[in-house]
Amino acid sequence: MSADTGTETSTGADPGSPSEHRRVALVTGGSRGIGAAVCRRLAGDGHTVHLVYRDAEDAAERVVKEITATGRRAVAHRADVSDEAQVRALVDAVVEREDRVDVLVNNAGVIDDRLLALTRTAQWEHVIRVNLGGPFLMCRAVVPLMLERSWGRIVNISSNSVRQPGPGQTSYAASKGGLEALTRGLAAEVGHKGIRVNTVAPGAIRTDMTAALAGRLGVGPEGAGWGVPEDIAGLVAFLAGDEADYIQGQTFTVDGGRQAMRPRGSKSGA
Amino acid sequence: MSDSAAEKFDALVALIRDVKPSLNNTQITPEHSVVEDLGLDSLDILQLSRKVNRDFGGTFDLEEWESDSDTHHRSVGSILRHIDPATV
Repeated sequence: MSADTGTETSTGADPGSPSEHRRVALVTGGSRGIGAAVCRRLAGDGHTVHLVYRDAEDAAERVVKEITATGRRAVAHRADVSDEAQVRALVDAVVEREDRVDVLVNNAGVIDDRLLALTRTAQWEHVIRVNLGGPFLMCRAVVPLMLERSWGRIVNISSNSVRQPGPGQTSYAASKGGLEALTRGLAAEVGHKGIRVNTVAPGAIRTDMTAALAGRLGVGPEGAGWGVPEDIAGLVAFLAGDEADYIQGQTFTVDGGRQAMRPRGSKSGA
Repeated sequence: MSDSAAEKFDALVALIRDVKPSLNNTQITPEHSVVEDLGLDSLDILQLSRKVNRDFGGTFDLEEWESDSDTHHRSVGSILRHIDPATV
């Protein structure tokens, strides 16, 4: 299966910022949930956005249309980030149009929660391949482009499941923990080249992917305790900008305080 | 070195200094090895090759240049020769 439809519904107009300063952002898993919110936010900040989706073509097109309706540019690409050839074709397609990638947001991910004893090897490997292998392939393809301009921002989307996994989350937590380690390792390699690599670890964010997990995430279906994708997009946008120049190799938890505070109703010291 | 070659050399030196700012006060000659003399590491060289191809029109093949390193000792001048054999 080849990558990239490269569907563009853009007007090309960008009244808010000079085109020579317009940065190009590549967002994986950009058709829904956190990824879609990140795309909208980065576009609002003046970036040209290339979003990557695997299956949700209609949703991707909706995001593109929302963005282009505001006069910004957005392009949707179909690609499986765990497939090396598709990642190469994807990045080639972006470079062909833009000649640059300034911001990479590794947001694409899968959840396949199962108790470890009941997890097949192929199921484990699929989660690791998408959630950890995908960002590896994307970073490897994009870092040389950032080196060319001595500037780049990579934001990896992890999860607070790394620190507070529920039962059945071994593969997911391991993949996201690996992603946080990848962040630190890559930061050590490319920090002196003007490239910043950081992680945002969301808590319970209301998205299509987490809708079925309400019970396990400890939030109710009525909405208490949920965050929204825009809660994550704001921090991602900050880390993607010039003001984050002195922030490197960090993981930022955005979970409404869930990790910092003891559960409501529990006793001190319990 | 012709005027054109001198201009290309100066542009290349600027890129080397861009990649490794600590060389800003170091005199750089075509005979200097970018590795042994100037201290560029593999990431520096990858970055330099991307910048060279962007600024010089995409004619520097890093793998080809690296495979010939036994003979050219990864000299600054050898990069110019790879960009344009008639330059130096």
